[in-house]
Amino acid sequence: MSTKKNRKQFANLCMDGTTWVDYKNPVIKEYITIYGRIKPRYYTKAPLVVQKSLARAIKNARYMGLIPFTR
Amino acid sequence: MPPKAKKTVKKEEVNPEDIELVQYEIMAILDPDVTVDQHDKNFVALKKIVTDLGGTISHEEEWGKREFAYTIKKKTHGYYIVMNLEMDPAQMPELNAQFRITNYLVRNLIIKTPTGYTNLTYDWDAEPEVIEKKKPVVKKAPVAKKEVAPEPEPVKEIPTEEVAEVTEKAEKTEEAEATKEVAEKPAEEKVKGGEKQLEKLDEKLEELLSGDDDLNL
Repeated sequence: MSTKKNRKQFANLCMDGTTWVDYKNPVIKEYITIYGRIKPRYYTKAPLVVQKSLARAIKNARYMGLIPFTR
Repeated sequence: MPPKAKKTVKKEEVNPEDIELVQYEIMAILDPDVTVDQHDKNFVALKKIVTDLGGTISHEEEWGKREFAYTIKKKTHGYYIVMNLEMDPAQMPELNAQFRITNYLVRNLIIKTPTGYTNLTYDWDAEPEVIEKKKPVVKKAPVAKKEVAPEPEPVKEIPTEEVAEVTEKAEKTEEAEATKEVAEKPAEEKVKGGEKQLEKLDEKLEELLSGDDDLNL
């Protein structure tokens, strides 16, 4: 599914040199479905570390009213 | 049963130099339905809560009034504030308790930032659809040019390098064209018939214009 080399593809999503995803980054809107659910890993093709960090970021952004829980 | 001895918790006195400070980020939503003066007072009071508990604010940013994705406490808008600070982690429960009892705070989020974190400003109002629409236009244009371009190239290359082969090829092509014409004549008789008529008309016109006739045009 994904390898460590694959992490380069998610460089715009992660902070420089890390796998940490910022909840303030509007790019996370592309990783939720039209109904507001977090896209699964077999759609995003993200490495596991990135996917976990991404899910955390989406949950934080939802809590702060930046993106919706559902639609 | 003998009465249990009361447990006495001794507070360990910690040397302030031994405390390991942690980098935090606080995002807070202030109540937008207040006057400008009251809002400034609220913002100062919020920062005072942090600084009183030993936090040092390194960066603060105001996002301004934004619309929520869903209603929070019967409000549709909120005033967003982001602060980066350095603080003793032992004080965080107290900070949370203080935030919980502040009236003007709609919602707040405290996270630990990773090492090497730098403040970046993001534009949430930019529409990603506009960027996606521009991409295919750029990609399609060179593809169309490539299809057209290769055709004239071989014609230019032949006379410069391979003169001897060109003559041979030309003879072959002439023969091939002759055979093709023979084969294609029945199919293209109607088209060529029209062309012949035009050629005849052209010849007549030339004869008339040349003045060899007695018409004196």
